[in-house]
Amino acid sequence: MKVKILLKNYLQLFFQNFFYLTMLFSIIAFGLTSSHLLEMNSLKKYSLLIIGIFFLSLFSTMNLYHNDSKQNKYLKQKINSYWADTLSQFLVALITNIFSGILIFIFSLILDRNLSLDIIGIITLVAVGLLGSSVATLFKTQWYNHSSMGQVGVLVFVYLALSGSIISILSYVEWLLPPLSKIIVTLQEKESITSLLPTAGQTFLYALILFFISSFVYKPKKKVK
Amino acid sequence: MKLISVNDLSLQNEGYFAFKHVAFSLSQNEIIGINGDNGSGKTQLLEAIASGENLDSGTIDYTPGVRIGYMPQDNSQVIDQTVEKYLEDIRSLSRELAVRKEQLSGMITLLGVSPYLDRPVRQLSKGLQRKVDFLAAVAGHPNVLLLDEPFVYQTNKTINNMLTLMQDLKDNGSGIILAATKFETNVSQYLDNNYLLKDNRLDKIQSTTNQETYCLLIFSANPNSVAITSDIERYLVSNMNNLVELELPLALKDSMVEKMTQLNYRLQEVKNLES
Repeated sequence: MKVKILLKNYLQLFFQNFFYLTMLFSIIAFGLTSSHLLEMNSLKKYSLLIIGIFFLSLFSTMNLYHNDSKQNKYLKQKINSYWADTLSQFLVALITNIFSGILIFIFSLILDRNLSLDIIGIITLVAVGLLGSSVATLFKTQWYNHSSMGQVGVLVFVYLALSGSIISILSYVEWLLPPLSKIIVTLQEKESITSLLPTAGQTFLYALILFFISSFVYKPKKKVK
Repeated sequence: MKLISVNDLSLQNEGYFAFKHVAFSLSQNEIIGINGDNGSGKTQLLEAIASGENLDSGTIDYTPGVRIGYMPQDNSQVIDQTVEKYLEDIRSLSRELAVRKEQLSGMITLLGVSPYLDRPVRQLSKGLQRKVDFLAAVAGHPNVLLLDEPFVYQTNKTINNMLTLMQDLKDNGSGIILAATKFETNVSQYLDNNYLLKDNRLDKIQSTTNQETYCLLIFSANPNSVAITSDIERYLVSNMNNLVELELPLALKDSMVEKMTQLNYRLQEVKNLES
């Protein structure tokens, strides 16, 4: 019941001010028109859509936590369950990213009769979306207690996510970095969306680990007996 | 039995103390009032008790099993659900410990919220939203109820009905903390202990309570009178020769007369009693 109430509330917050929908439909419009407008091939377009869904989920999840910090204080006191709250946040990220991933892929005109290409294309988009949400979750403190630290953290992670595979000095610790750039480099090298499955799996795992770390970082420490 | 003990509690915000070395306790069957000017720290104190977080020093001891219902001064949540759905969701959070569904309906009727049950909470006026917040705080049948300025925007009739509900909770073993800038006489009659939060300190002030003053109400029954309900029965002193005598705190007099009139009894006499 607690999770159900929170989930409903978070989904309401997610769609509350049209920020998410505006960004989503902008990306869909880009997917529909970019082939003709910019004369780019499917792989290049898909690379840009991957970056697009990363920023879509990052910003819309940040917006969710911003709304949450302004509105939900007393609801959470009533619910009084940190783990129900954490699980609800993860479920919202999962649901919205599945929704975004499917819509973006369908309207990108990359859809093919090759079912495995379609499924892997959607899975990769969802995994990257979850990565964006997990970065926003890890640094949600920017809307609560440590505003500057949260903002700097997001900037650093976004930079590392985009540059991890193209800066040679970082190659030794590449496994530590958000694998967004690795997906794009793999796509450019292998020129096939189906070859992204292992990296998509790694991205999904990376996002899960970030959610897991966040859940312990933000666990409240009560100073009461 | 003590429900909450606040021990040497201090809280500061960006170098300014909200309150210092606050100590008091709340027991079962007790209503505490906390007075204080705007900005004196009442809200922060209630929030500290409600959440048990972000304290600088001191402790709050919660007796195991304590369930807190909190009505904040300003609830910023935008609630798209209808009043009925929202209150039912909040009630169901406390599962079998919550008030029964029909009890909640009774409270909703008593506070005059019934005509708005199918309206989204966010569309209601501020006064109605405060009533919904009050109902949400009591729907879980908490044994500790924290109310921050609950009577703002309310008519005297609503305030009396809220006080009746609070008295009922108190009689059923709950403890209540009421914070407000000022308590009117009709409210202070219900308080067992009164505190003043001033200059960051919480001091007990001489009780303004009228609780010890009791009255005897004598009603006559007629052929249309309905059987006395269990909530009235506890005040029953005698019931013979078509005369019903009830002994109760003076503060409850008006609401009891209203209830008995609804049950078709006629008030014959009121006697003030010393305890």
